[in-house]
Amino acid sequence: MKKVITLFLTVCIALAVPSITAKADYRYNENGGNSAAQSAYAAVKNYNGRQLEIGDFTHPSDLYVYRDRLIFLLDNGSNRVVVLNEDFAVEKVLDHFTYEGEALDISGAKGIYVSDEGFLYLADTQNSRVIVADQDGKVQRVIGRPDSVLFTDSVTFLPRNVLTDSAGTIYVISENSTQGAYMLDQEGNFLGFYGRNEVDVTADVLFQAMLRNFATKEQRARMSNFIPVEFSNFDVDPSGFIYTATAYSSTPETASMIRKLNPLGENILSNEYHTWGDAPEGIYYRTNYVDIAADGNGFIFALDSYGGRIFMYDNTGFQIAIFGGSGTQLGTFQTATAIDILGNQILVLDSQKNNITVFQRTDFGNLLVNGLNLYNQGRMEEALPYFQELVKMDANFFYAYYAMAETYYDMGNYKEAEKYALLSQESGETYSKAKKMLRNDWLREHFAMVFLLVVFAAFAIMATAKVVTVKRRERYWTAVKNGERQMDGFYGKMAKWKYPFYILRHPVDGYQEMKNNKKYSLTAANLILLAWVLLSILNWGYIDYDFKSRFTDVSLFQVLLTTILIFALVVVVNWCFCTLMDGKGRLPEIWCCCAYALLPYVMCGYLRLLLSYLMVYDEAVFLTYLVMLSAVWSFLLFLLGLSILHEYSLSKTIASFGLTVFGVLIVVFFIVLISGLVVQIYSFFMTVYSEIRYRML
Amino acid sequence: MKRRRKEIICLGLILGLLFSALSMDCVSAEDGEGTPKEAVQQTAKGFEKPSDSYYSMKVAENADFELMANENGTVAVLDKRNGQLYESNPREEDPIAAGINKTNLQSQFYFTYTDTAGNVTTKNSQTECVNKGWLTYSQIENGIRFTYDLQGAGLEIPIEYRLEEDGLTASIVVKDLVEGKEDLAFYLTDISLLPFLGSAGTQEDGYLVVPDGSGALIYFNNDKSVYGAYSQQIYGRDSALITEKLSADSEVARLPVFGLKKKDFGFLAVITQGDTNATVNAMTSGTLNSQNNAYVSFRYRPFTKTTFLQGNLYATGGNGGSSAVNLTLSPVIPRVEAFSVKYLFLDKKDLSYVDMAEAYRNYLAETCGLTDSVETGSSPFYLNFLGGLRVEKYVLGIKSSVLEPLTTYKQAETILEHLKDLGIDELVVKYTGWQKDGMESRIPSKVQYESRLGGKKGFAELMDYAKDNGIRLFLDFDFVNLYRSGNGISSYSDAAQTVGSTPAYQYTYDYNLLIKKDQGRWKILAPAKMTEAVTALLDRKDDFCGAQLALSTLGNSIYSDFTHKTDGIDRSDVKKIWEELFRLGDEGFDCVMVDNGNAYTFPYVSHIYNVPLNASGYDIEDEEIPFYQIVLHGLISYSTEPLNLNAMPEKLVLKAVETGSSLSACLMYADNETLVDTKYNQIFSGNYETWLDTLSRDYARTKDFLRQVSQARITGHEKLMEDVYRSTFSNGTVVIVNYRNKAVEVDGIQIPAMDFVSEEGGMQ
Repeated sequence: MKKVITLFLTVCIALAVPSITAKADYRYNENGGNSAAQSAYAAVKNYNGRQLEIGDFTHPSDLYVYRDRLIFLLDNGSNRVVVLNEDFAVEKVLDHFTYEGEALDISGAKGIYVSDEGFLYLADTQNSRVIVADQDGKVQRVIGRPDSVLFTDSVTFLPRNVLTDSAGTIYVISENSTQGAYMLDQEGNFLGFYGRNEVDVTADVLFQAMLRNFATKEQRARMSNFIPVEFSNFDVDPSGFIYTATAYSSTPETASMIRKLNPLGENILSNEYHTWGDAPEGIYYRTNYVDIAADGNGFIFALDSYGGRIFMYDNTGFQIAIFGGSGTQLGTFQTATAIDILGNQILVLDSQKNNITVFQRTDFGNLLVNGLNLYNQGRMEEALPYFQELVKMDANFFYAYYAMAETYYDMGNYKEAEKYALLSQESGETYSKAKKMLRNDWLREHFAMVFLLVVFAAFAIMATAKVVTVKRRERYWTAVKNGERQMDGFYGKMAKWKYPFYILRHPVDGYQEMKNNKKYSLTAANLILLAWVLLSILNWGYIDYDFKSRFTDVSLFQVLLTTILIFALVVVVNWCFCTLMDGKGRLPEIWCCCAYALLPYVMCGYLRLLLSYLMVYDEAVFLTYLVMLSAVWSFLLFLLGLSILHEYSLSKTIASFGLTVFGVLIVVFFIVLISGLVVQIYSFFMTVYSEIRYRML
Repeated sequence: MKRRRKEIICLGLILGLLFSALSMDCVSAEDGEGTPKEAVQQTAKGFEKPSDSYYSMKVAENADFELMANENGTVAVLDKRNGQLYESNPREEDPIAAGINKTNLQSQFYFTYTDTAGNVTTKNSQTECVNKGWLTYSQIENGIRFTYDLQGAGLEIPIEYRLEEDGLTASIVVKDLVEGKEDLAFYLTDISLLPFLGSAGTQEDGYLVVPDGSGALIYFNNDKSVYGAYSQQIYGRDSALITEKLSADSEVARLPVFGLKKKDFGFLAVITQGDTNATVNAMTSGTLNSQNNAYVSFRYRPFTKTTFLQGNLYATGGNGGSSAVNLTLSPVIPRVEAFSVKYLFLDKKDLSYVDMAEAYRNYLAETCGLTDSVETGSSPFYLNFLGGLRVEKYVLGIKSSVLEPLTTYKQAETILEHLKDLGIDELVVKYTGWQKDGMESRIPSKVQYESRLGGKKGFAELMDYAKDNGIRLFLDFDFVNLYRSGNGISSYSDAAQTVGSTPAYQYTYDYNLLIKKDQGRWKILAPAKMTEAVTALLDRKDDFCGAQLALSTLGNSIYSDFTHKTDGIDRSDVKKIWEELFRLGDEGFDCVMVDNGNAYTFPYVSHIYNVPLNASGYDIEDEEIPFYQIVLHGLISYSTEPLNLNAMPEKLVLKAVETGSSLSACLMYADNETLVDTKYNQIFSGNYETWLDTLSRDYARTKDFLRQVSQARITGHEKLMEDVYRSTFSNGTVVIVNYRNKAVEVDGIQIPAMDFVSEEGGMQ
């Protein structure tokens, strides 16, 4: 069958397509969706070589900000390094690099770094070397491919980026090297590899590893290797942590697109709560991180050349702002290649536009940075006013709500903590904590009263129950004595609707009685079912936040499907099979019998609903047991009821139950099959229709 | 008998001679088919010699100008006041241009056409007509008409030039345009008119003015041509054409103008006919040629291409399957007489964009009677209230759509009281989403107050409060977006359609991928139904409780209806409908307000909310200028974008001062969190309490200055240094605004960081 897909391409010759409401800046939420965000940085200016009056840049590949004062721009296409000061005036242009009296061509360089001492390090990819020069262009050293027994001849040394640490160790990223960065000493001697990406242990990886054990040598050679992805760029912050960025790659998937490495090369950013890169729901999207920059406070800026966007993370790896974009406007890029930080400005180099774009931190951005700084230093109370201001300016900033909830929790203001935890749409941990504290506080305050109330209530219930039973017996015996009633047991005259409750305690008696005396009440059964439906609705909407399902999108149809419809199906299928198997039960009887059996489950469901307001998530296990117990209880009632109703032995009951399940599955299978067919037929006709429409009209 | 015959022959000859003498200046196209070159040579004699010997014909002359032309289609206007010659095509050989770019320079227009297979081709008039000798011309009153016979494309395009008192009007005569000659199945989609009129070479200083947002300048030879040309549709894109993917955020060109300035002269071009179908283009020297030029191109016929992918797409790595392209042409084409551009040639010492804005202002006053509606000494603060919004909520655990009140009528009063107490004494309020079902209501042909916001009674109370306190309140009506049927409008039969006769759906776009989201789409009302819907409302003025009329969406969106049915309509015709409706609105009400209004609304409105203060910042642009504001200041009262949604409100306040704009805010009573899960979540800071202090402070800061200049025109605007600007008003007030983070000194006056200094009667 030919698959025909139609694509509608609107051809707009005019380039400018203005958006009505789209705003470039956005942010990801806890639940993976994204929403509009107030801008933390706004593009204010851009500079190209012509504006700086030094002639056009020619596909510059890197820039580096030295001590928040000087901008070094590697304009390798023009074989020069341009130095700008903080006001974007040209300080000097280094277009002569001399080594031992001879001019050195740097046009093959891709990366630039300036050490604290002020030496320029150029990663010359084309010539397989790292050039170390002073600020006048006098080359001090040229470091070539290091010698080590580890390197076979096939290993190439293609330095793309370079940096040094405070001890003077040189780190070099070489193209096509998956081992991590080369660590070299000042003389260029090889010290080891640093910080290679780990291969994520996924099910696929484990499976392949297992297969490998059983494979022959030839097969093994043909199997894919799990080689870690090389990282695309790195940066060092003032405190010596090295940050690496890795472009998105599907084989193998890298979870840590951004890492913060300690001197041992270990990643200290947790991956647990973070999404790295652009992660739209359900759509494959490439985030091509080409550069990364980190400031003294640990804020991380990663540059995505695919979408031309800058991703800002705080020092715990929390994604707090996304800005930039691709296009031909200020603040958008064609080929973004490098990023660095200059005070409260972000500089982005575009090698196709041949310019530097300057992003200035906005008022909102200032609040954000200052607030998060205090917060991440543990000065939570001081950070609070910042967050309050932040959410006033941007209600979509969920992380601020979360931070406020945590802060209030720390301050002991659990009421506020609970409120902001709810607003933060986070997983509910803080909410749970706060709720527990609130409950405990309340209990502590009112302990005496609560205790007394509980004791009193228990006594009262027991006493009443006793009195009622005694009274009832008295009445019964009096009635028998007076000949008003026969000796038909206490419950002989019991109203039909009371049976469900009676069966709870006396299942065998109850069902037997019910069958013998034809005491079925469809009304009672249907009421129980109604209560079940209601419970199901309440469980979606009104259970406490702590226990709420994350998938809150539920329609009435779904509710009915999971309750009444499945119930009806079971009853009907059971009736069908049992009629074939000499069962004595009629359809309404089975209906009532099954509905009655549900009573414990429904009652406990309501109990759970009430308790959800008292209990916290940690104590959920209690509620789970409660529901499980009630379910078992209901199930046993169900089996018992059916066996009595149909006059089956135990084994036959179980067999009939098994058949019922089987029958239900078959029916469900057919429904799925038919609905699938209907959808296919519908889409077939729709495709034919649209084909005709677009070809004929 | 023989004699008689001779007599008849003689008579015939005489008549024939007479006839040919009479039709001397009217060389017909039918001659052209046979021996065109001969015909051209014959007719050159019909004109006088022009003052510039480069041209062969003097077409027309008046007090200030002389229009001349050549047989090859080139035209020029001589400005006799300064001797400047504006030529349609540069004379000198271009060192950069090659191939088609070389002949482009010699062309009077480019045209784009498509065949039935969807191949789009752009060619120029030089290679396709003039070089082949298929150009003919005839004299018209005060001008000349060239008929370009583009036989290769089966097209015939007549172009007229007419000299007027203040300049030149160039028109593509749409009504005489012929398509599909000799059964050639080509369809004209776009024409770019006079791409190089008055263009400047690499040695000249000056700039191009483009209408992007508030306006922008492109300096000659700015070496940014590699970034691509400026190209922007006037009045934004046609929302009846569906956009699959958004390009980056940009402002919309609201004014149908562009300009070119050389040292002491230049022109402002106003697109007088077909502005709805126009795109303004501007480019600088360096890449294609060595000219700096701005021009307009007109969209004649929109189309969509449908690609059918066939076969298994996933075979051979996604490259499997073939594709067949199907072209769907718009069934509607513009019914305007012509696409016309009027070039107003300006002559002034140190001409600037301010003079161009003035020229445009005068043009508006002359042609559509734009007069000032601003009161003296007024400095209103604009408020946009958000009334209600339907949101998905859980009622008894089941999702359903309920109205969430954002600002009830009573709460609106509370906010107004607060602002008044804080000293904001002059308020203009636009109330959005006040009606039944809130912001996403039915088409509002009736005035239906929402009971959950307070009902009609509640609104009457609000109006009483407003009247007592001199607050002007505008009810905002959205006639464009069609969310649901009702009020006599069906969302099935009354929705505008896109090319291909499916509803012209409107979409929200994903933030990261910028592609449209299929869920939550809505439709727009067919323009043919608009008159009926709006007039029905205007007839119910009594239900307004004294409130005024705001037509936000009608003022900033204009769109076609590409339906195959008889009521398919092009944007150019829609503009006439819109104008008529605004005229009726203006007649029925004291004041009419729009939101970031297009130029066609100017004659009828007295308030414009949310006027852009920025351009889109295209890479080719060099400066942002407040062109829109310079045109309108003192004529129509207008406001900035809402302060509370801006990332840099402080800068916005300064911009307001620089441009004489009133401040504005978009507020609601409800908590900020209310809108978080809705598609309005870009209103991330609407709660009024958050902003009371800031707004009152900013208002107090700007009030006196704005009052002082409220009725004055802006007569000067210049950039003194980076981030320091000076505006001069017609009453002599001068303001210097400093956007820097440090103080600056201008002419001995100290301007603190991020502040302004104004002085009455000017500064020395």
